[in-house]
Amino acid sequence: MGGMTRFFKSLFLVELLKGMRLTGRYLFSKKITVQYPEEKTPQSHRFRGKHALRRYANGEERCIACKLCEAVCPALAITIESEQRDDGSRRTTRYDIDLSKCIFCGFCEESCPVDSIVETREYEYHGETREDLLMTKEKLLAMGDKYEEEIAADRAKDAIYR
Amino acid sequence: MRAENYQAVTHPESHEFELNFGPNHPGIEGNYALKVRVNGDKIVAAKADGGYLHRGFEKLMEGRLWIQNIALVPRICVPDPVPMEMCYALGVEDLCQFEVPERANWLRVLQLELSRIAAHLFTFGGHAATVGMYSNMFWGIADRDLILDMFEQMTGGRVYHMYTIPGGVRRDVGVEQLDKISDLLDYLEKRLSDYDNLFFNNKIFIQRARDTGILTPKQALSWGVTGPNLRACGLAFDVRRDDAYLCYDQIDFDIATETAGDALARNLVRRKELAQSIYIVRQVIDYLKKDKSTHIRCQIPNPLAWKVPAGETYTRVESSKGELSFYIVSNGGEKPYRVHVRGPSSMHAVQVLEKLVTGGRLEDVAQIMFSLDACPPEVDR
Amino acid sequence: MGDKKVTIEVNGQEIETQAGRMLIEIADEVGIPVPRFCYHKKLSVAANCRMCLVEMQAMREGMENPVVPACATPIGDGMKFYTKSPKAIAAQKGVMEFLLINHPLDCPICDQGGECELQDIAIGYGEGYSQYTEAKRVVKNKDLGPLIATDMTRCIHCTRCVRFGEEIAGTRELGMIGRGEHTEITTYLEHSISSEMSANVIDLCPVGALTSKPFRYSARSWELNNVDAIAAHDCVGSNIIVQTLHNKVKRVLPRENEALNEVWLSDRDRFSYLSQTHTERLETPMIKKGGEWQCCDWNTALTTLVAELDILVKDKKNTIGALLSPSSTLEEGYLLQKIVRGMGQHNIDFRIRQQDFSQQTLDPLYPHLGVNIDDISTLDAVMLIGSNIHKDQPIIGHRLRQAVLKNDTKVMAVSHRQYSFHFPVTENIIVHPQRIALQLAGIAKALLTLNNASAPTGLKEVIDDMLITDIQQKMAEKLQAAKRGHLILGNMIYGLEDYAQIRMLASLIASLSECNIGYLTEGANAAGLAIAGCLPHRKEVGKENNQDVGLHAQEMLSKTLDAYILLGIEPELDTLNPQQAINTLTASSMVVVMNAFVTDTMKQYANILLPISTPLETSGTFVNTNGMWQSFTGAVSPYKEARPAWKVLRVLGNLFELDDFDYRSSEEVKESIASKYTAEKFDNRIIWQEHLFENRINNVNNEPIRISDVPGYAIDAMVRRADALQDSLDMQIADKVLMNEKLAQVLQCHADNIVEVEQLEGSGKFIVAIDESIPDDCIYIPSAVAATTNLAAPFSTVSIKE
Repeated sequence: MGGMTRFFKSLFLVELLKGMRLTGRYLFSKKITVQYPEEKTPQSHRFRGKHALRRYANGEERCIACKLCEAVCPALAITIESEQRDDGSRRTTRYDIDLSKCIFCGFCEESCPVDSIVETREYEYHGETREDLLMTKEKLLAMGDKYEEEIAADRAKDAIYR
Repeated sequence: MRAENYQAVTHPESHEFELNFGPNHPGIEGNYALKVRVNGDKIVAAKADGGYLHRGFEKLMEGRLWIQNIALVPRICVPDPVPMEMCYALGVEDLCQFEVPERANWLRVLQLELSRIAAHLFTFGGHAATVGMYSNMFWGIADRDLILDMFEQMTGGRVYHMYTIPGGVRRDVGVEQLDKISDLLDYLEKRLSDYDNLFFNNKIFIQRARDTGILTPKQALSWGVTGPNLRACGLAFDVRRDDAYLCYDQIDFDIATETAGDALARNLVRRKELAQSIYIVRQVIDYLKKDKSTHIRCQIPNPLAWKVPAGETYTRVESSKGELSFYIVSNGGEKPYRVHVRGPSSMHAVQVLEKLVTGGRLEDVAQIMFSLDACPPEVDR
Repeated sequence: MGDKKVTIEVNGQEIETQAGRMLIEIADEVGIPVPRFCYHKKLSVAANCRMCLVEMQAMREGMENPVVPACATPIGDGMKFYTKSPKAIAAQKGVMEFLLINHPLDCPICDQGGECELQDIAIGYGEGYSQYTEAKRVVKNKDLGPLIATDMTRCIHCTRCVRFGEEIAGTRELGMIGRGEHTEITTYLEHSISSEMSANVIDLCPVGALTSKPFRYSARSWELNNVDAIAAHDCVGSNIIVQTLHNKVKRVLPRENEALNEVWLSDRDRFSYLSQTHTERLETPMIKKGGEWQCCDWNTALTTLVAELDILVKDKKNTIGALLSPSSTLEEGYLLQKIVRGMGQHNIDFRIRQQDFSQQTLDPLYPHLGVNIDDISTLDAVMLIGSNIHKDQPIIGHRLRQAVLKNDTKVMAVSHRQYSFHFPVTENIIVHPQRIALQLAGIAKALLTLNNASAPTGLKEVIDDMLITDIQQKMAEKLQAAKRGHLILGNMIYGLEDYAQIRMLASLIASLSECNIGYLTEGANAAGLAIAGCLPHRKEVGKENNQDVGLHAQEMLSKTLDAYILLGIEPELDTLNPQQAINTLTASSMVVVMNAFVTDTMKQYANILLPISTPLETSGTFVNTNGMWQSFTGAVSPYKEARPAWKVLRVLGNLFELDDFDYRSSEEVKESIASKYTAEKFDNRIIWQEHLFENRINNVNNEPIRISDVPGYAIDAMVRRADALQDSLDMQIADKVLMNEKLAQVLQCHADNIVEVEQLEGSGKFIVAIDESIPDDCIYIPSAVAATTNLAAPFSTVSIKE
């Protein structure tokens, strides 16, 4: 770059104008800002969020207390206790997920032989006490009841890759 | 404070101060400290102080099943977790003599290169911030988020994917998804010229970064520098080419180099690598679209009773920060006997950083650290 | 067979071994894996699962290589096998596919999941898909009682359980009926299994068809922590693995020990853990104040105890006695006797079911079986005196059965009740308990005649005019002929009032026929407690205590002492005479009960209750009937406020300011005994005591007397609270009174009627059952069951009212 060019460039504020042009372009372009929480970005159906325990259509809980999720959990976040229910079936008496330990790897979902424990798309949760972050069986089943349609649709969508 | 209450502090003769740069400092990537001794704003000595993020990964891995460690390893490096999973998986595959399906390897390259793009965007975004150019940082991080969206759609996780497992990958990727990635690449390519205008050709940045933190090839070699930092010294070493893993030997790409060895050169190498990675991903997408196989995983034993044959292995991959290696020893049990992680950042952030900042100026410390792309979580695992 | 050496080649590896052995044994020895289901090293070869097919090099040129089952192929010189050749693998995969046709895919809910042989082998040999599209087989589940859960659809017909029943348990209760697809494993008659080792089929079953009922669905095999321990309910000291989860015992499994229990375990040892969380567990120390029970902390309880006892100790006239369970550990026994002796007393005893102590000085250092448990199979003739060996000592019963089957051992029995042994008994004398001594005298007379020896002094008068019966003669001949003969005194003998005479006569028989004699004892640690010095006449390691012999159990329970310390016993069940025990204890002003459990009866006589841990919660040592010292650690931490008894006793020792009570671990306690103890071989036979027979052998009047024994599942506090065991067939006699038809007619009792049995001032209600195994003039009522807590000692007269 010759000294002359540089002189004129700085005299006519070319760089500044270049920058202003860029700014101007973005000033009038379509905004990508999302007004969270009113607006949300699209989410993948593979998203691994807060857990849920599903039920069958007849209301029977799916979980059979096989404890594979407990065994595979890398963070040791799942605690299950089981017993024989009065009708002779194998059921959990306790199914706790400690969300403060969970790392959302999805191994529990992958290990589940009956598609009972799943990770929903829910990511907006917080806890003010430790108990809030301890998902008990009741809370997990309630999650499942709440999102069952979405869960089923997501699983159906991804079925060919599973 | 009223003037009469003010008591003058007597300065030491030398006018030297000790200054704690970190462990919480906007110019530091994470919890990491640099204790610098300054005379005015000139740095006389520097002492790196890691250990604020020590989680004992190597020890933790000895207490977990082989399958459970998959979820542990990506956490070693937050901005670029995929090479961690990859390197661990390669090691276990080597010990178990797994034949990984071809498609899985290409999917893994897709992950690795997208992760590299994301990491580089993050790094020079951060670098820009350290020289006061915040819009660039916003852009870098916003564009990285688009890649995270892709990760979310492919793997279900945005930051920690846990997608690569020994023996293959967890979930196949469909054609629509590949199209989406392809669109994203088009967008990123367009953005690259914006970045050039805003950052890489920016006079302020060039003046700040040029001749800052110069690393000579000889120093680089003797201090164990790898990755973009090494290539910025003119040494074209890249594990992807020189010790090809996965299907990198079937992929066409150039190794980006610069010769100056300063902070600017290191960033320019990353800039070039962005283009190369986009080029690689395009090849991968072409392959995956043509490939009709659905085989993405070889048969692995029962993960809960997985006994990896006794032996030891050393595997390495090229992460966005340099050469990453895992040394894995198995005694034939259900858990690793020993895992050692050789991360690139421990060299860059300790011995190299200390020496590069010494003699320089205080305002350059953050810049040099970012230009080295040293990742504190990886320094002390 | 024979010792001929041959060389075979397996997968190219040359192996030299004896001819005639099965290939699979050799493969196991050298560590070549061969998949199998029906083969088990302790059972006979059935070769019906075909999983162990391997390729064999053809014997002749030109022939195709055959595929043979490794478990049923005796090896010969130069044979070559390939276990991993394509042909072998194809054969194994084929078999696996057939096995999986009907096997349900319910691994996630199956208790065997994670430790299932089928699951493991299916991973290696099974395909991920099935070609089978027809309907699957469903088999009705069988009711095998309270211990074994069944899921018969999962059965792969390996017949291990059937062979176990025939070969090991000796009960033949399970069998295979039907053919082809209709094959089923079932009990021939619809009833639950009665074998005392029945639950071993759970371990044997390679799939989840037979699983543990109490364990059902409560945990998975992979999450359990294994702790090695020693079983605490018989004098064998079976090695066990205690599996725990979240500090609760979930399951007990056998630990292989060829010298003791091999790979087996009695049901009692396996399921006694069920009492761990029984509602009667004592949770905190308790003190009785003004007739009211108050919970308190350990500090209060122990200081109160020490304060009260100290007052008593100061006055030398006061007597303090300690009674402990024969299943207390060596350390507990040692520390307790140290405390009692530290108080200047010698009243300590663990022989709480013994009646006749007149010859206690002749007792051996510790009650020894006289033969190593793994040598039982080499015996030629065995005479059981008063032993229901299968129920009392299941493992020894099993060993004896193996001896009968493999070594043709002749077993004879002298008893007060005809027990159903799982082996043939050549001669069986069933008599009124007071005539047992006479019968033994008859055998002794026969032996004297055979040896042309003259009767020892004292005995001559007794046997002179005695007629030798046929059976006695045969028994004498068999013992005489045996190279290795053995007499075993069973658990029941100790309760007889002429125990000393019986033992003397048995010893005489042993001497005359050059046999050995041995004791079977109650509890897990009778031998250890004898060594620890928990005897009124002996200090630790058998040091005689001649000048100052203390009171034995019977004396302590018949005359009220000033204070009692009871460790691990429930006198209302664990002593011979519950009526007397309760009366005596209630009369005493100070009764300290250290027990894991508490009952209302206990609260009546006790003043202080201290919760102690069960053997699963404490560390300690058991010495078995072979003198084998086996130490163990606690598998779980003690229940609530309970503490290991050795720790409690150690603190008590400190509080009483006794010397040498600074142990930091149970190992240190053990070490302090072990350092004084030198193991020596000794003979159980005793020197002839002529004065024993001065009063002749006792007279029998013809009034009906109560005979008794302790049912296998009523022997100690833990077993009595294991619900599943209490539900088993064996415990159905718990509320019954048995007599033979003849006596029933005399007493006008009818089967299934409820009668009231009176004995001294107590009585109990029982259901009449007619049983021809009971000798004449005898009424059988079991001991140590709830219904008998008001009765007096057995082997005395009772009256029966409708």
